[in-house]
Amino acid sequence: MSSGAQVALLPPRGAERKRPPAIARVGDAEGGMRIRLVAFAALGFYGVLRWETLFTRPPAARLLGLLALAVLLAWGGPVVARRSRLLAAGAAVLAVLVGLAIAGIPVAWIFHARIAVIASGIEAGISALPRNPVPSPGGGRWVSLVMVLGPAILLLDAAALLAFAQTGMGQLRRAAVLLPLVALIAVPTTMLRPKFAYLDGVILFALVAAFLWGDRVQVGHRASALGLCALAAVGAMVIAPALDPGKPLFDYRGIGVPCSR
Amino acid sequence: MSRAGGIALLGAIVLVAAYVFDASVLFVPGIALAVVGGLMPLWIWLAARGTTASRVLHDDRVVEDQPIEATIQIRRGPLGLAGVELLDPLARDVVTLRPWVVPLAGGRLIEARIVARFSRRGRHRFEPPALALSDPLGLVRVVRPGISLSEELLVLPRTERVRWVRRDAGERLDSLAPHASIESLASTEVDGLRPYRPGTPASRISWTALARGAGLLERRLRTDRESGPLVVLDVRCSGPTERVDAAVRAAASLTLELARRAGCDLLLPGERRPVHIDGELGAWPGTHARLALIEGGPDAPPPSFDPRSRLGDIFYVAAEGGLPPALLRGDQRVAVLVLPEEVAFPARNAISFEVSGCRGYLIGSSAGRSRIRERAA
Repeated sequence: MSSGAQVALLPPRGAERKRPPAIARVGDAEGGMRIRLVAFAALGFYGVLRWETLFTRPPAARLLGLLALAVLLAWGGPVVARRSRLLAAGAAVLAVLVGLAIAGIPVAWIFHARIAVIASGIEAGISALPRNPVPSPGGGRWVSLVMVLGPAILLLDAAALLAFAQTGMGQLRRAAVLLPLVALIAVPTTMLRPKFAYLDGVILFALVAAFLWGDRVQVGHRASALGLCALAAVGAMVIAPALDPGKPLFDYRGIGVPCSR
Repeated sequence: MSRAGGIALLGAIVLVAAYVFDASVLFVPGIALAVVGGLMPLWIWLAARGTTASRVLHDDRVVEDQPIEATIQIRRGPLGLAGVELLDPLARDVVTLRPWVVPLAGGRLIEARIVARFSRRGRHRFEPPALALSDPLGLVRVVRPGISLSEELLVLPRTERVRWVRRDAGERLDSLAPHASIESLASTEVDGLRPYRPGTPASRISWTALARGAGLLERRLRTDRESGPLVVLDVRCSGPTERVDAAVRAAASLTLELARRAGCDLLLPGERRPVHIDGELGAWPGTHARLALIEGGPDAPPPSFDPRSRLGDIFYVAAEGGLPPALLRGDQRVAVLVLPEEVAFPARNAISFEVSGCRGYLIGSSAGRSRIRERAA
């Protein structure tokens, strides 16, 4: 004989004034998606800010435009995909083309599909990159284009991964989305060591934690999750200087220079 | 790979990248991720070892839809509790509690009361509560079984007052107490005394009691039980089990109401002898418990009674339609067929009363029943 039970959780007898053990609430799926998107935007914004340090006169409008495009793709991708997968694929291709235009490739070249011209320009920019000083004064057109194309690819790659893996965001997929964004932050900090590197590391960890766990933490557990992450970050900040050798394990910068000569 | 393992691996990859590219910024997230992924399972495992849960059910019986309380005690270890999910079969649901993360702080005993209501009768067995401990980030989950013994709860059928649709029927029931005129003349064995009822022959009045100042009392004879009202429960039913439940509730409600008036008998399925419940309801708790455990269905045993041996009125409570042939054979003053509301009565008889989702159809005198029998045929 089955039966349904209604349950109420009350404080212990004789302690009615005390609050009962609180029941934690589980966040809804839509709320989780929103948290992921906000964490994604924050990571992207931090990456853009770090990338700007590679320029003496940073192309802020282009970089922020690319970030906005990436966020739009991450948010709108699933919405369009629910109507039509084909339409979503078309939207992704369109986002890439718009991204190229924002990065600095003339719209007419894209419109007329001057692929060879674009490819040779990018090749020239990549070849000139090792000789380019950092922060870049932005003298060469193609070097500047390539330096903006880098974050464009990383941001749109992460956005596309996030957009088309919204349902059942497993840990592996989250890590896949994270990697381009971490690279967006790590590349400039490798070129130019920040003044407070470990503090930047704490900020990066906070953003990574928000993206990894922000939507998974139940409403009643947020404070403890925050405390736990803070504890881990502070611990890591203390340990990090002891582990940091201050030089790379091998000279990776030297790899590109002989090839380009 | 577990989630914690994956996070530890991600931390290790970030650390390798930090070493290879001399990316100082990556050291902190790498170490933090590796620490979180590596230490979290250890913390939860150790916390689970010191945590126990036990439950005490405050009663072993409860009436349908009435609240029953249970106290659950969670004793936490020195390492605190992170995410705690109470997996209690009584609660039937997973109750997620807020964490007590801070180790060595606060009380180590957490007590909670669970108030549960059961909508259907029967015996329920509850395994001890278990605790599922997890970290706030949802990386590790350890289930710790409870330490108390499993408990049993008997959910009794709900009883309700009889709502009389026809006033004359109610009045008739008021006079349902064993009537002197229909008592067997052969009954001579005195069973006790009871208040005098109009119509009792003067030979049965206890004049000695009157002389002692006890008021007007009459002698009750042994055969009075045979002449009192009888509630017969028939739970044979091929339909939904809700009908059986409704019939059991109606039988319980009727029995209680009749017993409070002047006592009555209840014949349960598969039983040969009816249970007598007097006005003091001494036998009611046991009978109520037996009603809770009655199983209905197409294979349920029919009530084995011969209406011709009864002089009193019969209330035949059935879970399924159809006029019971036994009911038409008797010579009772009153025969009432009680059916669940959704079951149509075979003849066009007026509804006498409603109780617990069932309707009572007064079949009437033996002559009237003969007419019904002819109509049904």
